[in-house]
Amino acid sequence: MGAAVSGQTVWGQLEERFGRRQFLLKTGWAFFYLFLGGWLLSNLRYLFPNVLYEPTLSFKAGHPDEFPLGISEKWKKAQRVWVVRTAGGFYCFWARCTHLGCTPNWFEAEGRFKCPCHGSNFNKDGDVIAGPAPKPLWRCSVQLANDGQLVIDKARLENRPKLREQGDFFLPYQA
Amino acid sequence: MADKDASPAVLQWFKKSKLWKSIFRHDFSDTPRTRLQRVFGNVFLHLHPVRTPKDALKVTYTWGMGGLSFYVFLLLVVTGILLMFYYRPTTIHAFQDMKDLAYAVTLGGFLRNMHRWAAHLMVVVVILHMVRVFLTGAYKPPREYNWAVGVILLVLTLFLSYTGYLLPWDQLALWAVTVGAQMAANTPVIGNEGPFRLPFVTTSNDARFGLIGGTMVGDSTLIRFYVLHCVAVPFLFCVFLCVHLWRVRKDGFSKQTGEKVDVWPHLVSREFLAALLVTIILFVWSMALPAPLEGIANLNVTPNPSKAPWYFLGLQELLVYFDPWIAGVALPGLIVAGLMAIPYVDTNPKGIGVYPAMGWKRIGPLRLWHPTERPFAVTVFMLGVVLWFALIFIGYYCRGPNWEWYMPGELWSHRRVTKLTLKNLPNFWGALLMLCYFLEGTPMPKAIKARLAAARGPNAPARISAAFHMGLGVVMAIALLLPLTTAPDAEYPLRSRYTTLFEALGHAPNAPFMSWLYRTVEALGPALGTGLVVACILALGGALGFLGLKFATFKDRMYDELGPVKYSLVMGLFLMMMGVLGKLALRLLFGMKYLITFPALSFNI
Amino acid sequence: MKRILFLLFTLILTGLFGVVVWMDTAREWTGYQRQFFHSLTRAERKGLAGGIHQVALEDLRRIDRCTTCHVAIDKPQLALAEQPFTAHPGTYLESHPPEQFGCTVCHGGQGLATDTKAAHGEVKHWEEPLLRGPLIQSSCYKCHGDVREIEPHAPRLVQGMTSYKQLGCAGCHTVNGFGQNVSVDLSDMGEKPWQLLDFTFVHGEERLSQWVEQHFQEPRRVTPGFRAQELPPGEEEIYPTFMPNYGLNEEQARALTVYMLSLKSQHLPAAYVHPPAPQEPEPVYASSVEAGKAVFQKFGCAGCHGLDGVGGRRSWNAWLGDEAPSLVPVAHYYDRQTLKEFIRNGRQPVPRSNPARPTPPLYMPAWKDRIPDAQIDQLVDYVLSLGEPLPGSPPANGAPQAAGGNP
Repeated sequence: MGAAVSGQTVWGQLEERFGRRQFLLKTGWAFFYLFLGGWLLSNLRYLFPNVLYEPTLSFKAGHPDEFPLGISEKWKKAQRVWVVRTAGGFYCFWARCTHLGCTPNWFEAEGRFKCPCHGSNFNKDGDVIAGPAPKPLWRCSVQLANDGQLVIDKARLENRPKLREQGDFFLPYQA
Repeated sequence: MADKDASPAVLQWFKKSKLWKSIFRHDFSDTPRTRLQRVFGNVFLHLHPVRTPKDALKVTYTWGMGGLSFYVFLLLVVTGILLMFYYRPTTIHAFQDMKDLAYAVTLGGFLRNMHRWAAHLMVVVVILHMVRVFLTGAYKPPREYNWAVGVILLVLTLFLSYTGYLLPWDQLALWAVTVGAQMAANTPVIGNEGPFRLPFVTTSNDARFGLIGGTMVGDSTLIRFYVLHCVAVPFLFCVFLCVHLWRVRKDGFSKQTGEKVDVWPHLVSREFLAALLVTIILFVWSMALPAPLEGIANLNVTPNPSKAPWYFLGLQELLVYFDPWIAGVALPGLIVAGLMAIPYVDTNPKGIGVYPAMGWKRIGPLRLWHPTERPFAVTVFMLGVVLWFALIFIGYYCRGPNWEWYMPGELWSHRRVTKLTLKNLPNFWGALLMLCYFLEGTPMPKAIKARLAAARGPNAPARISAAFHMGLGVVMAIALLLPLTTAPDAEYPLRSRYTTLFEALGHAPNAPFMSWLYRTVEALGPALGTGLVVACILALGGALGFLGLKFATFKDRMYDELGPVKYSLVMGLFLMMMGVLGKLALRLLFGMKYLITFPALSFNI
Repeated sequence: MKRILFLLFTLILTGLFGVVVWMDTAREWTGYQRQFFHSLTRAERKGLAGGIHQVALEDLRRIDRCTTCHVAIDKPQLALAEQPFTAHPGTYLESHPPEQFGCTVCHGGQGLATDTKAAHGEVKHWEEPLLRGPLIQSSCYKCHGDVREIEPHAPRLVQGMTSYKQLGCAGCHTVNGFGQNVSVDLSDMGEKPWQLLDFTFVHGEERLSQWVEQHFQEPRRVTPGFRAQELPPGEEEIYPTFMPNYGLNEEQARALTVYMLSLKSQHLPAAYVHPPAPQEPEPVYASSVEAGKAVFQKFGCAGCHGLDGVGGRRSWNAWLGDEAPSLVPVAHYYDRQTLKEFIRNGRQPVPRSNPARPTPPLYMPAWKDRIPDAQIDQLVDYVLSLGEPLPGSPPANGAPQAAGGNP
């Protein structure tokens, strides 16, 4: 094999160790399992697609002035997000319960998001106030594009208090 | 194993645990006891016997084809399952998914290549397996039934290939399936265009409609073929495969000579090596050649030439010579039925487990290498196989645009204009020709021979047989050449004695014999020309009669051995096979289209 | 022996598997992306993702992966000078945002492919090759029904359409319902499958554009028909195309090719289509003759009778001994009524008196269903104005001459 230079001695040692026939067999099985393992791994890799036919995670949501104060359900149908405008600016929730991924409903009168699956409740900040959800609602990154439109990117998420109210996750805006 | 002590202590401990022992019921030392246990203690291996004769292991005997067809089938199942993850059987998505596999999925293209080429390989391997089993007489009792199951598996293999062919939804797929489905429309009785169509059968309720789920190949066909290809046919295949393997196990292997050896490790290791080798071959094949994919299916444009996959090219070539109901339905049906019938009509008990001995035989000036054992069975079967592959060869290498004949390697030209002229034989003469042809199969049973010999002297049977065969030969030649060359009306002036049929075929480039005859007759003038036609009739008749006569004694002996039912089955199938060759010759040499034609009934031969 | 084989086989298989994985990983586009990312600074690279990029356009039923290699096509600030890393020239991407239009809808090519050759559609079994050079202008017509709007961007397309009208192609061909049916309908010429065309006498690659362009320049070279000696004995010869040779130069032929390639029957979603501007009112002409000239041009009479009707085109009829149908002498032989009836009903091909000569393939079609009656009157005025009646010839309002209509 690879030990051609000092072949004699290595070969001799291996022969001594296993016997020639056993050596051939064992190396053969070693390569076989190498091949089999590689094949299975490659098939596993095959199952992970390289292209997706999904809408892009980042989208332009229109001009900030189009949104009223409070929770806007404008983009819930197409992009599954709530755009929230406060006196200070914008943030955006991903409409996906942090418990098991259902889409919660917004109840204006109660000021709560309620998940129909297992009864998790979230307040306007996205914090859990009832039910089994383990963590606050995810917020998406909101930025202002060059043409003055909001750009929402669902690929970048944050839900930790403080961190979610700064940087890309909160867009200060005054009308 | 010998160095069991060398394995780590943890492993040794694990091998002693209850968990391990509940799965692996025996240890792996190489003792006679464990050798047996490995085979019958393992669900995957227990289809093997525990011990087998040594000679049955020889590759020169088995060619390893049975086991390999099973292995290739497994490979196809594995690659097929993987491909299903990225395939949507709709006309919008199917073709796009093929492109995705090739261009955007990790190893997608390779898996598709492998699936496609393994399908081709499986057809080859299954056919070779059948040839091997035939040659070694392994279909003879007690294995007749398993041969029939094997034939079913061959048909299912081809049907799997056919249904899979549609799935990429490219031009190749669409047109192979369109043509294949059109054959269903030509099924007698239940096909809209077949002979003896029932009055209520239309395009929207005939056999083709049932096959493709619509009046044209489209979305409904795609989902139908998808289900057939991925679920229905594989399910049937597995059922028959189980029966097939089970019967091999129960009926015993055909080779029973040599001392018995343990299947583990002797046979299992060989199978494993063969599987590795085939995997290597498929790997190289799939790396070197991408699976074909043409443009997206388009019902408005048929590729020119539009060729079926190679294993159906023989059929496609036959479709040139026969109406679809014969070439597409009757002949394949007869081939399958004939193959299945082989073990039931071949009563010769000899030749099980050995290849037929071959020897040289002198017939006239020819020295033929022919089987000295089972000469008829082996010759006819191999003739059929060779004929089939010859048709495939013609279809693959000799057909160009517009399905015109090109020599292999000759450049195809879209500007070649060959106006072909084909003519029909008048029904009466055509029917007479066919009748005489099939009468050639008539034997003279022993009893009749004896009575003839008693009544008319010892030479009488031979003389009567000679007169019978030569007579049939001459009548056949007359039935063929007379209506082609001469008009029935004797009142015609001498110059127009030759029919317009003769003239038309005389100018046709696809009737070389007729154009030679026509030109020679023209050159010789009426008197000599008529003489030439008569001479041709006599020569052709003599040749045909001589052929019949040559096999007369053989026929008689076969009749006495087989009895009337089996004999007529064997002779009928044999004559039909040779008849296919005859029709090819009539088409290629005489420019003949139909022997019998009833357009109103769509019945043409 | 078996053990050696076993080792050998597993060794080969493992090696082959390695090669397969390598072949699958080392795609052309990975090399391009690596090259491109190497050219960027760390800051520039931020936010750029590797892997296959695609634009999936459900409405257009297209998936374009072109940006996998053409990574900088919409990022001029990162673009390099050499392909495939250039930025898109002009401001086209602003009016045609790639996420809405993709690439292949204008440029052609195979959007799904990720190998250069296949992606450019320059392979067998792909009917839409990359439209190189001015040919790309043929794509504009799909949406921009009114090409005058985009003339600065698609000069060749406009030139081709103008030539089509000037040369009188509509006299024989139909496009979208307008024109005559003497020859083939060109409404979907841009989608004609290549394999229905004969490339035997076409130079260069087997492309629809090549065939069309060369057919414009030398119709009879591309479609020469069959002479009797090329055919089996007894067969009649097959004519070459009867399209006249208009003596086009390369530029004109290419412009017409651009127009031909733009003719497609496929329907794009309404959101993409710019409807043509409402038709302008018919211009008012000073005289009936002027108006007749406009009719002459509009309906493609020039296709056979030549510009201004003065010189006939040398069509295949002329080759067969029939003369080119110049209109100058018409005034000598016809009066108004006969000429009008002749134009209305045309003259279908008639077998020649000499049976040895084949029937001329070109003929005067009937116009009564295509040109309104009033316009035919104007056309008659125009044609009669082309030549002066001979002094001795019958008066213009007299009975038709017996020999008329049989040149």
